[in-house]
Amino acid sequence: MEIVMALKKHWFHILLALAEGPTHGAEIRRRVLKHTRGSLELYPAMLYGSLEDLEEGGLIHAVDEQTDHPSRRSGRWRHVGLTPAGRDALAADTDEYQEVVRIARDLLAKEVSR
Amino acid sequence: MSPGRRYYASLLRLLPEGFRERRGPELLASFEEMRRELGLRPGAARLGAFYARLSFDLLRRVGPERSRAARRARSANSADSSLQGRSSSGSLSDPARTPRGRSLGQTLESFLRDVRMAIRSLAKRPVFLLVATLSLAIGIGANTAIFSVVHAVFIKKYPYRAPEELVRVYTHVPGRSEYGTTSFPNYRDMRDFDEGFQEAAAFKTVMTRVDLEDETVRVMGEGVSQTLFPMLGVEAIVGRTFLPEEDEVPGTHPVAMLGYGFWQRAYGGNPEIVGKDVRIGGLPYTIVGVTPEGFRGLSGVGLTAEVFVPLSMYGIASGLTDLTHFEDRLDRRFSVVARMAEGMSLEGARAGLEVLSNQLQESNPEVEQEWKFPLVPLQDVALDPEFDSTAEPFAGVLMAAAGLIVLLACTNLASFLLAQAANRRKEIALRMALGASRASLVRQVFVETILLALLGGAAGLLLAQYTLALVAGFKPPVAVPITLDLGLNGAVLLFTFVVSALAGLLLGVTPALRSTKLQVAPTLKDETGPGRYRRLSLRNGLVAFQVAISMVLLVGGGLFVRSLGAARATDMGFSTREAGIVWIDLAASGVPAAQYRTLTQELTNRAQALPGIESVTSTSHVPFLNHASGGFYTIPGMDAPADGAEYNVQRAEVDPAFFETMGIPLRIGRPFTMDDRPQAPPVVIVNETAVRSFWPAGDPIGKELFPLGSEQGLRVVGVVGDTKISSLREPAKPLFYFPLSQRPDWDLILVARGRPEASEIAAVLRQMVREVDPDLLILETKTMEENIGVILFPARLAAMLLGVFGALALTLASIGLYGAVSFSVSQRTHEVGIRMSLGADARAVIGMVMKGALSVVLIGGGLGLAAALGLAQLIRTVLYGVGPWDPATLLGIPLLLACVAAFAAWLPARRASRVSPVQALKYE
Repeated sequence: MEIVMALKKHWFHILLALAEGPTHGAEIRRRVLKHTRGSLELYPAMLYGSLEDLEEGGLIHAVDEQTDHPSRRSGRWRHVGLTPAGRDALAADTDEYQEVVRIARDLLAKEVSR
Repeated sequence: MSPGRRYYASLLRLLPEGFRERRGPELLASFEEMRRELGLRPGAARLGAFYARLSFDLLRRVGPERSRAARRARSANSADSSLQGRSSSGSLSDPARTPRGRSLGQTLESFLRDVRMAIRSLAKRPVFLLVATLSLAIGIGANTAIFSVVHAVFIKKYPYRAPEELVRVYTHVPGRSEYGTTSFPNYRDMRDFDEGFQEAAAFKTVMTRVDLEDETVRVMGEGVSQTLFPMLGVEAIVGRTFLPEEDEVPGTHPVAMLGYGFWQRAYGGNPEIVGKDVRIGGLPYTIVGVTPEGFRGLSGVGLTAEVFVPLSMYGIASGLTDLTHFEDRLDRRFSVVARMAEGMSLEGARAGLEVLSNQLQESNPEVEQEWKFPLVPLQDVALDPEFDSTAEPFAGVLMAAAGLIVLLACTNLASFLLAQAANRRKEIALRMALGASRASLVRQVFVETILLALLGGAAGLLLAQYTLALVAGFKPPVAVPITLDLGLNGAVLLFTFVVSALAGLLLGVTPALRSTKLQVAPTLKDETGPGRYRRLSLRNGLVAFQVAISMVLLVGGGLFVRSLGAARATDMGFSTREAGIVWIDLAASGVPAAQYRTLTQELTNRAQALPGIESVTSTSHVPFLNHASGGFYTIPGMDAPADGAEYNVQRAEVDPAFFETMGIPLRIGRPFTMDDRPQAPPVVIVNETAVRSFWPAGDPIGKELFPLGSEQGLRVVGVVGDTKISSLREPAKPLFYFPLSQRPDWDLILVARGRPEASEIAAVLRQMVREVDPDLLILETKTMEENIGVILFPARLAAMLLGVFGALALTLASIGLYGAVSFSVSQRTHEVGIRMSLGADARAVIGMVMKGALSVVLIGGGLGLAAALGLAQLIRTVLYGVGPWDPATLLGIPLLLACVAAFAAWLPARRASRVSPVQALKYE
């Protein structure tokens, strides 16, 4: 039985951040920081480069700007959100993580019972 | 603008314009936010680290973004969406839409791109490339080489007129060889027989010498009846062939034709040689013509006749003085080729010959021999039907083994291609997720596979050439040079190449097709369940198959090696201790029969006197070296034999030192002595089988036997042990020994033992003979080891070839096993990491991996062993001295296989146990 994560770490977390809802780049960075408890800091080039990648890959797409995000600066703030494919990929990897956890729990149980 | 922002803005300029335009503001905004998060006074270290990471982050992104920009630019221009490789940071490829209707230039460009990509992709996987190329090369090369050899020996067609009408006719005397030679009067009757053949011809191989300008060379030639060349449709390329009158009366027309090769080598292809005289066998012959290139005579495949003389002259060319053989119906020494009457079938010809043989029996009542005339199409004869019947099955075994190797190589390739396909499943799925068209993906795999096939094919061609060169240079231990037309058979090469390419395509493209059909998401997740399981099982199945094949080949090799060992250990009946041997043909040298005795004595005495020589003997026959002639004898006390009035028993003429020098034990009586002189009572020594056959009652000493037509009897004075005469497998046969001094022979063989090396002794003997008389024709100079080697040659060849095949198979199978285990390990790295991080030790990991691997080996090995047991029965007739289920082989080989397989599996297992758990857990 094989366990493979298809998505690179960054993409996974970006997609995860978008699971809460569409948003723009800076917000994505904040969300990722939050749900990884500060361990994954997405630097700008990596962040926006990944957004481009994900968009090319059809895992995210541009969405209409939400009116509840007042623009803090001039300049465009492109909002992006998950596509169905993106959602599927995210779900798939999440399943994989669950599997890892299951194995770990199994092995731990064996350890204990020894 | 703060200096930090200015710095970052300037860094941004490194990025391509498009990206900068699209994302620039956001990049700066993010920068600002992150800078703010550091606080007002972050401290030099933190600040420095921040800017360092920032810069590094951006610089890392420059390359991929530039690629992306270039891609988009190209896609906008060109029509094709051929995929580029993934960059190291993992960007996904650009699936620019392909507009319909591409121009030729764009198609070509996209094809070139595919090729470049394929090259890069293959170059990134050097191990796979090496193994795949090697496998293909071995498969293509070995198959082509073997087939070319078999083709040259067995299948090639003769360039004669209407070759399907040509047949070889033999004479079969009951109790003797089934495909024997024919007497001249019988041949003449065949030729004149109305209801049989359009035309018939006879020929005889001769060993003779030709005097060139500065040396005398020993050549093989043929005496041919005048009818031969016209019948075959062979015309002289210079001069003419023989005229009817030149072949009518024996000994009257010393004319000759040169073979093309000999003409080139000895006379530089100079047409002026026609009309000149050349000394053949010591006498001048007028050259009347040259045979065409490619015509090598009829003596057999691989043998080339250098000169041709009319059949009536053959005896003189080989130094015979008695020419009565042309009239003696019982003297069977000629080979017959005939052309069947038009429209006649083989059955019809055979029936006709049966009528003829009956007619001949009736018209020759005084002849006590019975004749049958078997017939074989000329195309079906390589050397002669008896040799062929042992050689053909052997060739069959060779081809089968080669075929197995090819199969093995292909399964190796298949295995690796499957692994590659598995590894690239994710890559393919990702690309598909980005919209890459199925066609472009499949096309890319297609190009890669073709490239691989081309590479493998080229390497295979080189390998085939090299192998054929080896074969051509390989000199089997026989007296005559063997030349085979070993051109690389173009048709075979093409066929093999096409098959390999097809196989490669099938194996490379099918998985690609399959994986592109799947939904993207499940594949990104890497599908679980039946698909993946099937793939793993297929790979394991291939490995098991390879192990099975290796087992079969290795068992075969082992059996042949044991066979060889048994052959070597056989008791030949004489001492196989090293000795020097020189074989002289006195008749062909032109020595008058009256001088045989004195010349023999002189040579023997001189040999005795050579330094370091301890014992010398002269004889007319040495086991395995030459044929022991037969004579006809009447034995008082025995009824006449079933097939004639006298017994046909083989004989040898030997000197007094013979039995001691040759190490043949004397059982009772005495050996020959100096007293057995020409004038003394004629004596004979017999071997044990002779005693059992002719004097079953008991002691033969003092009994007499009578040669055909002689009133004087020969008295038996001794009995010696049996020896082999011409082969290892022959049944024990009676043999009579006569004193050489009483019955000198034109075959004179000196055998000497002494302190120097055997090859030195042989060389010194040869030198001595040349000093005595440079015109003496030395047929062979060799050591006893080489002599026995001739007999062992087929066994040696078989053992060597099958041993090599077996080793090759084992290597391929080991590679396959190693690859399969490595692959499986790499797929399970994550699992391994988890186990290890939770406390599993290296040994447990290795054990886990090896268990899986060895179960595959066990299955394959078991199947292979079963197959080997079955197949061994098929080769039982070829084996010598060992049964097909030889315990030593059947125990040793599986053990060997198990050890090698265990090692091949252990290596990647050990690697797995060495991976750090942290690494493994991170592994994606």
